[in-house]
Amino acid sequence: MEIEETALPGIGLRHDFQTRSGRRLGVVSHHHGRRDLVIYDSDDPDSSQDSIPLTAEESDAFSELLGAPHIVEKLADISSAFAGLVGEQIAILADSPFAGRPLGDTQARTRTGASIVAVVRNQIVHASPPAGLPVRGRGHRGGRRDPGEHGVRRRVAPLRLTSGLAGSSAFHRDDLP
Amino acid sequence: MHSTATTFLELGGVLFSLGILGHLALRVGISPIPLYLVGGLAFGHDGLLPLGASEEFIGVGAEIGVVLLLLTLGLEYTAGELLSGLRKQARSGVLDLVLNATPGVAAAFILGWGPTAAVVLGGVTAISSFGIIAKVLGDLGRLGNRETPVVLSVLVLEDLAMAVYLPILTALLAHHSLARGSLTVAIALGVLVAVLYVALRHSDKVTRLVFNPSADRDDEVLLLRALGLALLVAGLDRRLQVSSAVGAFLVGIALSGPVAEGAQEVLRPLRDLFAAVFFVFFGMQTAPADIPPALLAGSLLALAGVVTKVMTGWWAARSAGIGTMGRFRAGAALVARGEFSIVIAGLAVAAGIEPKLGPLAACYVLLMAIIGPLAARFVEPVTRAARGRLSRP
Repeated sequence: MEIEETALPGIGLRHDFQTRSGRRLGVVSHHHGRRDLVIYDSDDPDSSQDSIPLTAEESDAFSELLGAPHIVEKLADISSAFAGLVGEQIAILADSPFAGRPLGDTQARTRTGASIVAVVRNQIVHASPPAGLPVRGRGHRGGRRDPGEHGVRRRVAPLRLTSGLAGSSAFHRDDLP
Repeated sequence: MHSTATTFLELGGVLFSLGILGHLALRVGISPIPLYLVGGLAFGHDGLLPLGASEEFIGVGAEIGVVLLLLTLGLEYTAGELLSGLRKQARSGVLDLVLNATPGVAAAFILGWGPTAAVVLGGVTAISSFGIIAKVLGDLGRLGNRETPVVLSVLVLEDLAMAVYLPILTALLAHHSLARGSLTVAIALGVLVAVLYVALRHSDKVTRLVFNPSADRDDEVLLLRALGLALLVAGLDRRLQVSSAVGAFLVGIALSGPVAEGAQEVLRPLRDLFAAVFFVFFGMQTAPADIPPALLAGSLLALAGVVTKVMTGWWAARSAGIGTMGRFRAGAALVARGEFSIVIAGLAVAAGIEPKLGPLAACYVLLMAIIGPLAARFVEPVTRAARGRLSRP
């Protein structure tokens, strides 16, 4: 399945894909959180037969019905798919020192060697998050170790967190086995 | 001397009647802009209900309206979107501006108004209304359509062109000497390039000026700082005799990310209020008696404006590989003109270059703000009927 992403300047983003049954489905994500669920016309592929506006709350609920909980499981699957890669989810609690600050402030890669592959916020996965993305409390972040350089994969221990991210050093690195 | 009471009564009356007009527009499903203009005609010196006490306030409010319109326009786009639009759709953008400025320029020369008026009228006919078009596409459920990104990138380019055009226009209108005029234009363009660079590279720093995400989480703080910054830059521009509107637009572009989204949200009600005041003020400066003589030229310009925008959209959509129906949808979507045509005409009226230009521009925008949404709505059945007739033997 191939999901196409198109920028809609001034509006937001559009994602669309072809279902196995031959229909085209899309989602327009507005900057302000509104989502339009778009069902394309089977006769005119350029045009939408129906476009259903969803509030942020409705789209959350809807995506949950469609299986957003699986996204979390899938991230965990990455580690079993590639030996040597360890994926871990890290909850950012509201009282975390990083809550409300840009992702870059965590200096996660410098300090731990782990890459942050996604930020999961309100069930929505922000893949490849930019350093400027603010981390909000109560969200989740998927952390993943890169394979070693030159394709040599090292076995590394998962990231662990000190109690509740409350302390000043949020990341704790286990010794390599 | 007028008392505060009179000012309140007049202002309250104006805003309340605008509210009623806006309600009517919503009911009928058209943009409220033409109705605000008509309201303004009634409140002008020669109108049915001339205002006295509040005119000065409305004048200042209108200026703030222009700043807010341009600021929120800049907030709509990131610098990245502007540049990628420039890379991908440059040809459609040039075609759009050339095709759509031509009727305005030609009309000014035919009417014998001279080159400055031609530059103004070209701008009035060239720039589509982002506000009206985004609303119509959303209402018709066409945001997901394949041709919509094409439409939006044409609009992005128009707005980028505005950032170049407005300083040039301001210099022309101020009757600067060639040297002085080219200096202000050069300054404005230099600032534009600098802002785009800063917005691309150091946007987070500019953004932090307005909002510090870890320290303050308050809408009020964001509103005051964003508006304050835009007005400061606009005032500074005015001092340098560069268009104040451009400065606000650039502030909008320089702000980015969640702050831009937040600022847009908190500024929207304020923008709606002052933009309405601006449309009324423009209407007020036009004598209702001048409208009928401008109707013929205005209608011809409107007709040309529909044709040239449909051609632009058709061509841009075709080069993006969109089917026939989508090409016409793109063309029709682009037809609406509105706030920015008035902004441009407003500058010319304030400079007092050609007395008949204001009524003509008002007439043109009145027609185009009504025709645009209707064209977008009815393009599909019309195209289908035309194709049906063509394919029948």
